[in-house]
Amino acid sequence: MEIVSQATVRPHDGWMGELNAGQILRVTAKSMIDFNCFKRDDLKEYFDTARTRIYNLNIYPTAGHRLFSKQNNPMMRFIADGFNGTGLHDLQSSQGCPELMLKTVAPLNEFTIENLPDPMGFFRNMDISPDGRIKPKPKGPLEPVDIDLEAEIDLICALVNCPAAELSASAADCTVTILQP
Amino acid sequence: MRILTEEIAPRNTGWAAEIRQGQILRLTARTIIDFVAFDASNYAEAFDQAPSKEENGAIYLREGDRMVSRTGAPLMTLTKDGFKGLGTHDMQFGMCGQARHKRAAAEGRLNEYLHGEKLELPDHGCAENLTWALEPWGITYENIPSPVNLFQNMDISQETGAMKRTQIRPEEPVPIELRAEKDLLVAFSACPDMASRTGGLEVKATILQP
Repeated sequence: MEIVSQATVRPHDGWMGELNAGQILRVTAKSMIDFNCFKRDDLKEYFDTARTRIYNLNIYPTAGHRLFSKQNNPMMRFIADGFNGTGLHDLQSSQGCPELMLKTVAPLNEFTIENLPDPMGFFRNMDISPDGRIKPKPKGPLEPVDIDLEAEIDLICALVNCPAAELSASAADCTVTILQP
Repeated sequence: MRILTEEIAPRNTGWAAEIRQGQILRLTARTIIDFVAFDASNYAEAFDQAPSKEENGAIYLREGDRMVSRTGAPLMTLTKDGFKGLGTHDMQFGMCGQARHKRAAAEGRLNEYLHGEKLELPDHGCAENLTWALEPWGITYENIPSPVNLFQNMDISQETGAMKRTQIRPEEPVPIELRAEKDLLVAFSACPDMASRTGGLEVKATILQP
């Protein structure tokens, strides 16, 4: 695959970029990353955690799943999960660094804290007990791993490098690569 | 408590009303209800599943728990849960609707609703019901949050995260009571509840003044 672009995202920093349908977004990281995406020519069509959980019938996103929009259309395929076997990504939580995500998507002139969609939390690894109680159990990989998402439509993707306070010592740079197969 | 209004929402229809701080909304049913709430002074401050789960420390809405907005503002408190001990109220799912039903049919996944039996698809569902019910207040679909799915008892594997629909519902209609923590616009859809052999039932909505 050809590298279209590559960027380093430092802890407490954000990134936003455009993907064409068919391109791969590779996030290489070990600290928590909050991720959102939007249909490029209609920002009101946004990645939605509930529609994604329903489609996959699963609360933990991983390879083999698809990311769905509020309007119930496919947006991305989760094609590689370097965290599989170590921990779980999260679709339960709200934005971990909301001001940072708002700053990252500010050029779109579309979002406020009230309409900023809930994110996918990579590496957030929430602990959910059999009776439904939920608490953070942050547990990132020891070394950065790859997460690959394939765009099914033209998208704008945004993410923030938002290390868990409990693991702030392990915060690390994240690399965001756009690949053209 | 004094009854202010009482209405029946037939199966697979929507309902919306304004409710004042301190008043109680009683929903009496034995079918799935997709329920949402908005701050009456700012509809952008709408119920949100994620901060509500964080507020309550649980993925289910339980008696004593609060429904909060995306910014964490308290909107409602579940003060009485007639489903307690029988099942749980879900905050994983969004609204069912035409788009979802069609996709499930096209992908051969209707058996996820009701195993081994032919399902007749309704021509609309909760997404449409809530959109139509909230239209008089100018709220469009993309601004309707994913709801609390009352009586939608899901089987969720703690280990794998896999979700399965169940047919656990009350035998007779039971009350759910929600107290308004501020002036609100509330709305629900009496879901076609395709996972239940009843195919959806009516919901009685009562607003009470303590």
